[in-house]
Amino acid sequence: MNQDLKILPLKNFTKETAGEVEFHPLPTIPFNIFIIGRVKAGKSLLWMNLALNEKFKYRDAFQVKILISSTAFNDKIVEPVLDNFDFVFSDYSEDLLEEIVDMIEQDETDNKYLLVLEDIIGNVNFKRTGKIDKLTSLITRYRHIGNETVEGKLSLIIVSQEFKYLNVIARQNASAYFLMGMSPQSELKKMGDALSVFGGSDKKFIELYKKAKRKPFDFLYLSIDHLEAWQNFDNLLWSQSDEYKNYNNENELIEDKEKIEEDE
Amino acid sequence: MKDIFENNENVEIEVLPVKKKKRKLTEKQLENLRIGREKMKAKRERLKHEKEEREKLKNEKVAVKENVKIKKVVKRERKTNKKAQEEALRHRESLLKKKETETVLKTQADRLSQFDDLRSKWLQKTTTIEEYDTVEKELDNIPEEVIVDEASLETTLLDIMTKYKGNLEQ
Repeated sequence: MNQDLKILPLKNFTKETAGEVEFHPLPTIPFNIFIIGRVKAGKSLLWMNLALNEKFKYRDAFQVKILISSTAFNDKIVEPVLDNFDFVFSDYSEDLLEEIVDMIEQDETDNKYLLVLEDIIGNVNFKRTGKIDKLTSLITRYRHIGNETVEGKLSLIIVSQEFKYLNVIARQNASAYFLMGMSPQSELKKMGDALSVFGGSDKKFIELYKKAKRKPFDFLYLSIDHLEAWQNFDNLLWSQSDEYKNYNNENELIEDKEKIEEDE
Repeated sequence: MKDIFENNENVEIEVLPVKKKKRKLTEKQLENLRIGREKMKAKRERLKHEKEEREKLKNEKVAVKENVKIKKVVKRERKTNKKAQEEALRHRESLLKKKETETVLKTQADRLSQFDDLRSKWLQKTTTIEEYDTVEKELDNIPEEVIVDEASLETTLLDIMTKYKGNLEQ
């Protein structure tokens, strides 16, 4: 090719200016994590570990933690962690969400904020058509929330009982999915359609899903950031980089075979 | 060219104030916001205090480190000074020794010279060639260490003098 059409990186645009902090295999900050699972699937325990267990590194990476959970003050499992959150709300509203975003934008420090929204989907009314709701709007622009010097100040953990509650915009802006417990076939089918990038097809995705669920509370972790599928955080089940390697190896084999045939 | 635009110089544009939708938060939400802000304030103050404490500790550590450094320098200097002092002392001792040696050598040289004078005087006082040769032999046989030692020389000379008393006394 005569023209040099190589895509070049931007000057002076670093992970720091984008507010990014890498914690592979965990999602890179800022993130939008969806934790999906039915009741008693281990969802709350997972976000508590992500937010507060020091081994997950997010505990100290976020200086301000906000929880909006309809059961914040009456769920026994949530009670012990409330002290570790700076703000706790039990009633979600769009005005509250706006208030929180304003607070983050007005904060001139480098503080990073973690907003956990647990089981509030019923109050959100995720709109699928027309003017989008405030949460969906936030999901599309959370990466750019910050002050004049730093963006990427806000990360989201959204906990939902069902995958189907999430609209297309929300699904497209996810950094990671944690699929907890066992989902029914109908829900699995929807996941397979939306997340077939993992594995390469809906069928292969379902294979990954089943492979990840070997014992109670096993979960499938899908990292959109790294394009990897993990069983818990222990076993890497699939990765796009392996797919590229396989693809290149296969091509090399075909080329070698063609060469041998030509020589013969 | 014909002006095809309306002259809107005199048209007044009314700038309406931006109406910001007032947020409606429930009493509970406002209360939780207040609690959260208080928590954040307390956290900020705690972090500030911790930062100050860290800074203080850091400064103390720097001071301790500086002190250790100074002590090391002082110790090193003391060691160097001690070495220099020892060397000076050694030099003084060597000078003293040199002086002593010089004094001893000078005394010895003086005594040898005095002995030579005495030897000449004594030989001049001999009356016969036999006496001359004998006295000369006696005197030449006195070892140098006896000559330089006043007491030994005196004894030796007295012996010789006794032998040749008559002549040497003249």
